[in-house]
Amino acid sequence: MTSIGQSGAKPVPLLRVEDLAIEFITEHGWLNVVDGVSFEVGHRETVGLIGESGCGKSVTAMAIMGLIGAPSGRISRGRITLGDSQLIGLSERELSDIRGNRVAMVFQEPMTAIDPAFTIGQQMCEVLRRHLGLTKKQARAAAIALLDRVDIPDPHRRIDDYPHQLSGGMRQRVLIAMALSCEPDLLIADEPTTALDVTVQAQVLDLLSGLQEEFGMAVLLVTHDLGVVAETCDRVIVMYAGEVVEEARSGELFPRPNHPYTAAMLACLPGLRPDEPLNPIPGIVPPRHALPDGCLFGPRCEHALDICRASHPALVETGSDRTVRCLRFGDLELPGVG
Amino acid sequence: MSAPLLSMRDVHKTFPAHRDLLGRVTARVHAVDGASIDVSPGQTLGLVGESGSGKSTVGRLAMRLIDPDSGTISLDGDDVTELKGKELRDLRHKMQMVFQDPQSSLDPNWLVADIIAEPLRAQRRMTSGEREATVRRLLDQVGLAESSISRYAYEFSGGQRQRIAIARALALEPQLVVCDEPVSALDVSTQAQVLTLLEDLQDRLGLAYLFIAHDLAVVQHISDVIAVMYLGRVIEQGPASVVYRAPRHPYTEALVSAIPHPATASRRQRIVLQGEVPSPIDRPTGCHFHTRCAYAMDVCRSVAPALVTYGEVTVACHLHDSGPNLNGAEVGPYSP
Repeated sequence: MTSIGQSGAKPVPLLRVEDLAIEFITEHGWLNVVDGVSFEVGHRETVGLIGESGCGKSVTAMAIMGLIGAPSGRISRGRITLGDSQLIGLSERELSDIRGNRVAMVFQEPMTAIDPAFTIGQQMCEVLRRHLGLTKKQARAAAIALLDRVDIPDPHRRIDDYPHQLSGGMRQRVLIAMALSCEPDLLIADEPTTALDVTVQAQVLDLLSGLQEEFGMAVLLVTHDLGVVAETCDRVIVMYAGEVVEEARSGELFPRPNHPYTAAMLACLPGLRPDEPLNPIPGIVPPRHALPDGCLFGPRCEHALDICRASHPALVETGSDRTVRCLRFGDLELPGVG
Repeated sequence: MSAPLLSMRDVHKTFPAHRDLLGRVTARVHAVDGASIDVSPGQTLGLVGESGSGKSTVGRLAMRLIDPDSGTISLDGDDVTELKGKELRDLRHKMQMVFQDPQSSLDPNWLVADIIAEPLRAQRRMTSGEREATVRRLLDQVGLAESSISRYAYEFSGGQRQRIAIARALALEPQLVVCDEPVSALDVSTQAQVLTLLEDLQDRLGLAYLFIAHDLAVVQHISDVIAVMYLGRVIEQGPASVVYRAPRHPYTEALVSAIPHPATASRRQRIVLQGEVPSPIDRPTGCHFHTRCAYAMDVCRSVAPALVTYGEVTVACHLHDSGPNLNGAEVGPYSP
């Protein structure tokens, strides 16, 4: 598609999230857990969504999958556009055609995402027959080919195993195989390697990047592991307390963070300078019913001034593909790594 | 070096894996297979390895929560391998444990005061006033507000609950705290808070830690000495800085190379091990690691390598005594 209007306009992204707000019912009534989140994921791009627990990153991913629903949650505002389809407001039937076909998801804990009562072959074949209309025989052959592709040894035999007969790393490979079965345009991976050992994590990350190349997928990687993001992602979106606070290419974000929260998370990472003490961020992510005035990170920020408590900063563009939500942007020199 | 506080020598532990119809054991899991470690007073020994390496079993053996099949465990110079009953209970105040998941290791419906005071009730004769004063002091030590005393465990976040668990572990003024994955369930910022607290308490109270974790960056940060386990055996042990900079065992080399870190992401060459950790029921012959080792030689398939000491590091690998290429050389560099 050619761009019209001003020069330098970007091509149409695969996924566009605009001003997304998600509410959940709590003991304090309906509360926004994600408020005004906007970002894009380009074709074949790998984008990391990072932040502490409770920052809204998994909920954002679930909204894209159409998994936020009554009675406990609802999308109160915004648009989610995949290619040329608007996802918010689709019927369950229409959504389930998009899930699996065009967007697929891999979860953190493979044991809870696979049904323990069915063999992996039964579960994979169901997806293949439902979405691709294959016969039983074709589906089984396709499932074996997929298991082989994700490096499961002996797939002819393994296809008849029950999930409990596989190790954690194997189960995550099966889940990836299932997610890939309909060749989605976008794979959402929510903490895909967090439950795995470091050597198995390395295997799974290698597998994912190989598959991404081969299938031409985009990947949205949701994780709190900054190391994994730095290693795999082209671009990173940092969330804090339900908002995007910084966005940048990974090659720029880690050496030169612009938001104090990003810099503070980097300073928490062990292994950089073993002999120096860590520099923890004081306090916790504020609960949604008790958000501070002004900048949401203000109470935990070592650089906060009076202006930070007085007004809530907007997300501003600071360069190509770079945004930050900080009133002090420009007068802070924040340390990075790498 | 001072005499070790905790010393485990050639400790073995197996568990029954399968039984036949008559209940006879037909297969055993070899969880710990001749492990020896020393934890010095006031120091931290980091025990790393993947799931199934036996590291948590070593921690439970050290605490005498389970009995070893063979080998000796001594604390402060006294052989405690055979202690039972009251003597074992008396030993408990010298060593305490902090677990991975404070959601499940603390009863959410207990008051914080009762959680922390429980070991005091079991071990010490104190008036309720003395107990309450101790609990308040402990809360202060771990950085929790005094008002926490009358709140329930479920009211706290994961990081705060881990502080409560640490306060309980400190109640009896132990010399050794076994920490089994104490920060694995926590976010990076909370993790840094808890690690900093553990270091601070070590400085102030002279605690020794047996710190069990699979996160190598965390272990490197907190440990003085590191022991790397693979399928029940300690395959490399030495000062943390040396082991990370110049790992001598190919398994350690692969583990260290696999640590994802923003500082090294762009220029690091990851060594991706093939396959998975073999079953601890049916283990490979010779060196347990030979099935996944890029340098494996014939001798590795038949003979289990002995632990050999090079300077401050001990390593069990044939490369260093009979290897053609890497004879005693540093296997690979790691510099974050």
